[in-house]
Amino acid sequence: MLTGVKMTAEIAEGAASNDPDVGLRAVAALRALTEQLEVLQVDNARTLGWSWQEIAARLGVTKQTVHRKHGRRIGRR
Amino acid sequence: MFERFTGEARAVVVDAQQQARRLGHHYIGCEHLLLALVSTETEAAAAMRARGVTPERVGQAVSRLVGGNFFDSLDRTALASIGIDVDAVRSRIEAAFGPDALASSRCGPVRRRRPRRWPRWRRSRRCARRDASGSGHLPFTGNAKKCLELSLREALALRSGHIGPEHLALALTSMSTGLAPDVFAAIGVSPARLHTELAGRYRQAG
Repeated sequence: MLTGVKMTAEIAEGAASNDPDVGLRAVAALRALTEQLEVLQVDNARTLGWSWQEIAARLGVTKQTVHRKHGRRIGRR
Repeated sequence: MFERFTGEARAVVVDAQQQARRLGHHYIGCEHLLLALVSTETEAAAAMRARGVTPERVGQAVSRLVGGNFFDSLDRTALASIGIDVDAVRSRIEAAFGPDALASSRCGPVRRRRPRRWPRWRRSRRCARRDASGSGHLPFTGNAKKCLELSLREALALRSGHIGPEHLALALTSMSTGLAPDVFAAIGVSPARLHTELAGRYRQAG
């Protein structure tokens, strides 16, 4: 684990340049990661009985926005 | 046709099956052949890796295109460059939500592919050993078969008496159907250009 962290740090150091190839790929991967985590967390919150309003407040968007994005997938509970 | 394959080329086909199995796929497609090929220590594979077609990036593209675990589809080198350790994120998410939290069924649009469906009278013979999980042969997709045939044609075009990994590489870069073109597109490499480069290299050599 420690070596993993160390290796990551080394890669990070090496790539901390302003190479657009790495930078843009990082942005795309980060976006994919946030999308997936949002799906996971919203599903979990709904399962635990959270309202759309409560979820939206945490995500910093309106409840209509969350509902439009996730409502169809989760359905009415 | 396999009798013309060199030992290295056979090893690629065998490894393609292992790659398919590792990804949980029930068929061998061009993407698995490509993944197996670029993982070898052959000259053709080295030339492809030098152009950015690395096992890591092909694997990511395949996971993204066909499915697999979401974390495998992420560009971990790029994320590491901004200080995000994909393995650390993965272990925390899986500890909290279970190992299947971000399995393929939940991530995005996934193209499902099937190997060719044989007529009923041929099916039992062809598929008999397939369902024995973990063992037996996985069937080739139609495109993978086409790719193997194409490698024979590439070998003949170069007047080679055998089919080696380089001919598989030439075949994979000239496929217009199947997942190979999509994988190259996802990596951002032009298969046509790669094909020309490889063909030039072997025309001189042969």
